[in-house]
Amino acid sequence: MTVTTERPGPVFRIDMLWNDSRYRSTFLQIIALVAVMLSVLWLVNNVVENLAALGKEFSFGFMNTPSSYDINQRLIEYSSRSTHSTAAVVGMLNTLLVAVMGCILATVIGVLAGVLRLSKNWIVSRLMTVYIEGVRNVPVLIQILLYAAVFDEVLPAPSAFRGETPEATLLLGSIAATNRGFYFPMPIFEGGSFWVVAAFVAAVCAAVWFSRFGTRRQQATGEHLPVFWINLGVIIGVTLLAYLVMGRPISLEYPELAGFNFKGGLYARNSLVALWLALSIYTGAFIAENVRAGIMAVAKGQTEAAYALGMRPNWTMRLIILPQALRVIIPPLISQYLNLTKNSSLAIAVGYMDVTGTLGGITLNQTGKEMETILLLMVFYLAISLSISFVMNLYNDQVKLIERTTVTGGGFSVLHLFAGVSGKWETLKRGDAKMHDNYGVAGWLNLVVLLYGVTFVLMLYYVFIDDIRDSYWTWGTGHKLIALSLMVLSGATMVTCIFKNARFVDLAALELVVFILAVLIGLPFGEIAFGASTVLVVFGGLAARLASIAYTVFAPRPNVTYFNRVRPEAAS
Amino acid sequence: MSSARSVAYVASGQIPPSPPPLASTGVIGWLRENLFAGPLNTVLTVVSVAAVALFLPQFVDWAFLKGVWTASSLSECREIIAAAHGEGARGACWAVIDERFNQFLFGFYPSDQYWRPILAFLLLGVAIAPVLFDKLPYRGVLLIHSALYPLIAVFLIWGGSFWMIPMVVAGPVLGWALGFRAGTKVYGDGNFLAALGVLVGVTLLWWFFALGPAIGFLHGLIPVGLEEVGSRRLGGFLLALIIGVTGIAGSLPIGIVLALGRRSNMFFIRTMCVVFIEFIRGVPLITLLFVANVVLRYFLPPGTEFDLILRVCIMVTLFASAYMAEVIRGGLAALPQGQYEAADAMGLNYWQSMRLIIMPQALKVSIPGIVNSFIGLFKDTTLVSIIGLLDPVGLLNPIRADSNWHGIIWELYLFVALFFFVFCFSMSRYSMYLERKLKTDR
Repeated sequence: MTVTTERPGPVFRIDMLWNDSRYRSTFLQIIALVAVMLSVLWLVNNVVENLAALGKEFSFGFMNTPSSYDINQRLIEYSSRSTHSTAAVVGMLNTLLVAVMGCILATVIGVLAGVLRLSKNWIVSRLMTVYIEGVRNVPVLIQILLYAAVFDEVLPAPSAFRGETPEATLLLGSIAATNRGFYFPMPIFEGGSFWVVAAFVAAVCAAVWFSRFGTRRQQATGEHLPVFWINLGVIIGVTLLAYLVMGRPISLEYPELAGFNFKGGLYARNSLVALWLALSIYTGAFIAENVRAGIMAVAKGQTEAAYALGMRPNWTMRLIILPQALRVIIPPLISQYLNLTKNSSLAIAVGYMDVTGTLGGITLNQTGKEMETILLLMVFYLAISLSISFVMNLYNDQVKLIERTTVTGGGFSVLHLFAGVSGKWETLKRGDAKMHDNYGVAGWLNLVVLLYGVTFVLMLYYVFIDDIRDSYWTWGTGHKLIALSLMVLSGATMVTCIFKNARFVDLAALELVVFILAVLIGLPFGEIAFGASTVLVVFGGLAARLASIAYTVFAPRPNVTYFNRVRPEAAS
Repeated sequence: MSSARSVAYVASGQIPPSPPPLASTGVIGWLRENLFAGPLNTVLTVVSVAAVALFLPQFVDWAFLKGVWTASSLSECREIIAAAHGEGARGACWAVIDERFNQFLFGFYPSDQYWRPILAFLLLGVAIAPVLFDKLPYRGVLLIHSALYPLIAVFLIWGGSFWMIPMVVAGPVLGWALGFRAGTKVYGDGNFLAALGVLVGVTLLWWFFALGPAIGFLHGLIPVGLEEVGSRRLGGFLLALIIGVTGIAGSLPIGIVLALGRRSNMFFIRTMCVVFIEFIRGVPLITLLFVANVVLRYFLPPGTEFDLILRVCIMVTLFASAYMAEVIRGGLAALPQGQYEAADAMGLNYWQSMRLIIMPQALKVSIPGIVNSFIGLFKDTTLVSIIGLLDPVGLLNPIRADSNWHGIIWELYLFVALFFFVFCFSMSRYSMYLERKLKTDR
C-alpha cells in the first residue's frame, strides 16, 4: 500500500482572496479603493446635478467682485468697494491678530497659574485649582459671550468720562474702557524714529552675539560673564541714547474725548477684547495644567542633585528643571495654541470680523457660494494647522532623546547625491553623545534663512495682499500653482533651516526648481520685489540659491554645524 | 583611670531629644510652612486672602442674600430688591431661570409630552450603568437594553410609529441569519469576512429599501406610536444631551477603527485614515457645522431632505472621532513592542490580538485622554447655537432680547455655565476614579 502525499498544486480559489494572508491585504485595499472611488464619484455627480438644478456653477470668480460691506476692525486698507478676496484677507489677518495676542496672554496666564498651583502656599494653590477647574469645565463660547455681554452692558458710555467729576476714569490714566470699545494709547513714530528702531534692533543683535560669546567663553575657560545684566544695559542704553539724540521722535498718543466718542489712540472693539480675554483665560487654564504636568515630570532626584551641587533654588529652576520640563511642555503647548486659533472662529458669535465672519459669514450670505467659501475657509485653517504641525515635528526631531543609535533619516535626500564628494553624512541630534561639543552656529547660514525668509514674505504679499492691482483670482492655473508652491516651499525651507534640520537641502533644491519654473513662465519678479530690476532679482536670486545649497553641502564646518549633521571624522 | 567618665563636660549618657520648637509644629508650624514661608509667599497669601475676602462676601450677598427667585420681569425684581434692601442694593434676579426653566430643559417641546424626554433620560441612566460598572446584577439583559437604547431614545423623543424599533433591528438580524447562520454552509466555517460582508450588505439593503414600506405596512395593520415632535421644537439641555451623548457613543468605536487604520500596514487604508484625521483636526468645528448646515445638501441626491439635528450629530461624531483616534493612537504607541510580539507568538490573529491583548491595555492607558475628549465634545455642543439651533446658549439671546428680561446677563450665563460645569467636572472626576481603579502596576 502506498501512501501518496498529494501536494496541493498552485490552484487559485476565489476564497483565497480573503482567507490567504498573501492576497488578503491587497484584496481589502482594492475593495476599499473601489468603494472610496465610487463614493467620491457619487458625491461629485450629486454636486454637479444639484448645482445644475440650482443654476449655479462652481467658480471662484466672485472673489473678484466688490464686496459692498464694511468691516469695522481691520489691519489693512479696506472699503466696501474692495473685492471679496480683500475682505477675506482682512478676516484672515484679524484671525491671526487675535490668535497671536491670545497665545501670548494665554502663555503668561498659563505659566503663572501652573507654577502657582504647584506652590507650597496652601491658599494660592487652592485658588489656582479653583480657577483651572472652573474655567476648563465651562464651554469657551459661554465665556466669550459673557465677556462680550458684560462689556456691552456694564462698561460706561463715553459720555460718562465727561465733566469736572466724571463717573468713569481712564484705567491706569491711559486706557478708556467704554461700552463702544477699548481705546489704548498708541505710539506715534515721527521722522527720525527709524534710527531709534534701527538702534534697538542692532542692540538686540549685539546682545544675541554677546550671549553666544559668553557661552563659548564659559565652555572654554569656565569663567562666567554677567551676560544678562550687560545685555540689558546695552539694549536699554543704546536705544535710549538713540532716542535722546534723535530728539525724542516716538511719543504716545492718548485717547481723548471728542464729541460723543473718544478720538485717537488704538481702538479695539469690545468683541475683540472679549474674544481675546476669554480665549486667553480659557486656554491659559489648559496651559497651566500642561506646565504643571511638565514640571512634575522632572524627577525629584534632579532637584536634589542640583541642591547637592550647591545650586540655589532659582538656578536649579532655570538650569536644571525648566530645560527638562520644556521638552515635555512644548508639544502640548503648541497644540493648545492650535486650539486657540481654531476656537478664535467663535468670533462670529460676538460679531468680530475674523475670517469666519467675513468669508464664511457675510461673503457666503451675499454671494450664495456656500461650497466655495467654506472650502476656502477650511483650506485657510488647514494651512495654519498643518504648518504649525510641520514646525512641531521639526522641533520634536530636534529635542527628542536618541537612546540607542543615530539613524540617518529615512527616504531619499539630495545629500545622498553628494555623499561621494563631501564624505558620508550621518544625522546627529541633540542629546547624542557626539553632540556635546557642538554649539553656536555658522554665521553665514543666518543669511540663508534671510534669503528664504525674504522670498517667503514677498510671495506672501504678492499672493494675498497685493491683489488690488492684479488679483490672484484672475491668474491662470499655472501661474497660481507656481506662485503658491514658491511661497509654500520658501517658507518651509526657511523654517527647516531655522530648526537645523538636514531636510533643508531637499526643500531648497525643490524650491530652486520651482524658482526656475517661475522665471520661465514669467512671474513678474521685479514687481514682486517692489519694483527692483527683474534681471537683478532673477539672477541674484538664482545665484543666492545656488550659493546657499552649495554652502550647506560643501562648506567646511569645523565641528560646528548649523544642521545637526557632522561628518563622522569631524565629530570623533 | 582618667577616662571620659571622669571629665565633667563629657555627657554620661544619651540626651533625650527636645521637642521641636513651638513655631514649627501645630497650627503655627502649618501656617509658617504653608502660608508665610518667606516674603514672596507672605505677599501672595495676603493678596489672595484679600481677594477672596473682597470677592466672596459680595458674591454671596448678591447671589443668595439679595437674590430674588420669583418675579415676572427684571424691573419687578429690582423693585423687590429695592423694597427689601433699600435703594441702590444689587441682587441677583434668579426669577428668569425660574420662569424659563422648562425652556432651558426642553426647548419648545410640547409641554404635555415632557414625560417622553424625561423617560428617555432615565433610561439613559439605565443604559449607561452596565457599561460603567461591571458588577451589576442582570448585566446581560441590561446590555441588550443599552444596545437598543439609541432606537428607544429616538422613538421616545421624536415619536412616530413604534414599529420603527423592531423593523430597524430586523435588518442586522436578517443579515446575521443569512450571513452567519445560513451562510456558513455555503462559504465554509472560516469565512468570517464573507459572512460579515453579507451581513452589512443585507442590513444596508433592508434599511434603504424595505424599512419604510415595512413600517408603513405594520403601522397600517396595528397603529402603535407616539405623537411626532419635529426637530425644530427640540432645544435646551435636551438638545445638548442628544448631541453630546450621540457624539460620545459614536466617536469611541469610530475612533478605535481610525486609530487601528492609522497604524495599519496597508498603505491605502493608512493614507485614508491619516487624511481624514488630519483634515478633521485641522479645521474648527464651526466650519464642519457650516458644512452640515448649508453644504451637505449639495452632496446628496437632489430632493433628499434629512434632519438638521441628525446632520449636526453626524458632523459632531466625525469631529470627535478624529480626536479620539489620536488619543487611542497615543495609547497604542505607549505599549511596549513586546506586547505585540507576544500576541503574535501566541498565534493569535490580528483581531484576536487586538481584542485580547492590545486594546485592553491601550484603552486603559488612554482613559484620561478619552474622557478629556468627551468633555471637550460636550462643551463643543454649544457651538450649534451659531447655526441657529436652540441649545441652552442659543436660548440666551432670545431671553436677553425679551423686553421683560432685557439687561439681565450674569444670572443667565452663570446658570448655563453651572450646568456644563456639573457634567464636565463629574466626568473628569469619574476618569480619575477609573484611572485609580485600573492601575495595576503598583
